Amino acid sequence: MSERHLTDEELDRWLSGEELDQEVAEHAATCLLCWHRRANFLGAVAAARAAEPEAATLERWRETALERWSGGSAPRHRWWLAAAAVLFLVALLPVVAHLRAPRADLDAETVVQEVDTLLASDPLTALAPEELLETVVPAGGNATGGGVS
Amino acid sequence: MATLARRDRQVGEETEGALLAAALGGDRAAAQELLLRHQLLVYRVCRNLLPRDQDVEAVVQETFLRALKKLHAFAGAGSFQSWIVAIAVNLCRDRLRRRRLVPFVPLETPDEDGPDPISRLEARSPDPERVAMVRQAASLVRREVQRLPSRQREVFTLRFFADLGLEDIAAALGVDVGTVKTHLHRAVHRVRAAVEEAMP
Repeated sequence: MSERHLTDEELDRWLSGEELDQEVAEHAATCLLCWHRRANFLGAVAAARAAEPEAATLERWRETALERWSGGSAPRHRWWLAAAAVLFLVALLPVVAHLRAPRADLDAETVVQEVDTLLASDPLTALAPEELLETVVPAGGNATGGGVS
Repeated sequence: MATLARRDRQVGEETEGALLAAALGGDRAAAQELLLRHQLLVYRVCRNLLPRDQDVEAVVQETFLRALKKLHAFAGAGSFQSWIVAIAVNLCRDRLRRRRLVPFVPLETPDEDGPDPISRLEARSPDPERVAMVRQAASLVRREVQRLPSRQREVFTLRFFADLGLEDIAAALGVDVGTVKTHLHRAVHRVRAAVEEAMP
């Protein structure tokens, strides 16, 4: 068995849970000084561990998660959905107001009369712009010379 | 009532694989048993990685819920323990990132959750000097762990505060065992040196 104490590197490996070389391991198993260094570290770490919660606390957290998983309670953090719905409705308000505003009804009779009058006086003008008519049917004699095919 | 108790006993004796299959099928008792088996581990991970108590509660619950919802994604690859720890660690990282917090471990462990190791020692030990030394050592370790780089802090927490083996840590963090050893060596070296300096 080696009389040499563990180096810092070997001690760190030991504390980390790694296997040591056989000779080093045999020394570590019987050396009070090396055991003391190990116990010193592990004791400090054990003292630094956070307190364990009460069983009731963990049970409450577990039950909350189970309820949410099985859909037993309303999902949380859905406030943004409600906010989005409200915003959507507010944005729709002008459209709804416009649709519901009273519109002046067209007098169909008057419109029909105006169209009839126009067609009676000059049917082509009623159907096509004047420039187009001038191109197709010039105002000169051609207009009477032949029809528009 | 007797039926429920019998059913609870039956569930308690189930293997993890059978529990997973049952929970996957929507069996609430199986899901409850799964959480029961791993809740303390999840708590320890979150408690030592997150600074705020309210964050710990939120992240532990979120870990439980996410594990149940994503059971189908687990598919038995590796251990369920490593898988749920991975979820917890990722949620802790998210929480810290979102809050832009520098993680720390409180210098004094709060009492509301129950007796911490030092309080238990105080209750047992008649030697106030020894209690003071242990208290000092605990503060020292917490401070040094707080100062570790994030990956070293995670590895140290999983090894010494959650009692995970090297392979489980590697699986939980998605790295190889060699990487875990490297981080753990550095973390242990730093914390041990501080402890030995203060308490030779």
